[in-house]
Amino acid sequence: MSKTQLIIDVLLGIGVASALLSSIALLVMKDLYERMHYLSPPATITIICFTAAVLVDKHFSQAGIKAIIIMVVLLFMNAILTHATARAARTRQFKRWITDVTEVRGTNDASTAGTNSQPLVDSSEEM
Amino acid sequence: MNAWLISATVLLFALIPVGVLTFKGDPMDRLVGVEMMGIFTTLILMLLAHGFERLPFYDLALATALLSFGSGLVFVRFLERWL
Repeated sequence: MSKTQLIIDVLLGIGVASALLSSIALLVMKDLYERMHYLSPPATITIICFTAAVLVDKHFSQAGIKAIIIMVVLLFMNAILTHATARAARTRQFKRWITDVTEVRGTNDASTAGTNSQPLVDSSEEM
Repeated sequence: MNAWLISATVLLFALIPVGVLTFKGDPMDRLVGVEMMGIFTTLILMLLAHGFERLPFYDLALATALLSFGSGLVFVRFLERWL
C-alpha cells in the first residue's frame, strides 16, 4: 500500500466514522436542539475529509474542483439551514422569535440589575 | 471494490438511524432527519462518483446538495408559519 493510498484510507475512515457517530447521536438525543448539533459533523468534518481525500488522489483536476464546490455548498448550507430550523422550532414553541422579559429573568424575578434587565419587547405582544 | 465504494456502502448504514428518526419523530424532528439525509446522500453520491471514476456523477452530488438546501428552507418556512 502506497503512502498516498494510506492517507486516503485514513481520511475516508475519519469521515465515515464521524458520519456514523453523528447519525447514531441524532437518534439518541432527546431534544430537537440537541439533535441539531449533530447536523454539523457530516457537513464539516466528513466533507472536508472526503474533499481532502479526493485532492490527495486527483489533485486539482476536474474531480478535485467539483469536490471543493460541493464542500463549499455543504458548509454554507448547513449553517444557514440549522439556523433556520432552530428559528422555526422556537417560533412554533413560543409563537414568536424575539425574547421577552419573562424568558430572560423569569416570571417572579423583580430585580432590575444585570445586562438583561430591560425587556426587549412587551411580553403580551406576539409576533 | 475500492476504499471509496466501501466508504459509500458503510455510509448507507448511517441512513438507518436517521430513517428511524424521520419515521417516528414529531414534525421538527423529522425535518432534522430529512436535512441529515440530504447531507448523507450528497456524501454517498460523491463517494460513488469517485469510486466508479465517473466524473459527471459529481454533478449529481452537487445537485442533491443544492436541492436539499432549497427543500429544507421550504419545509422550514411551512413548519414555521402554517403547519
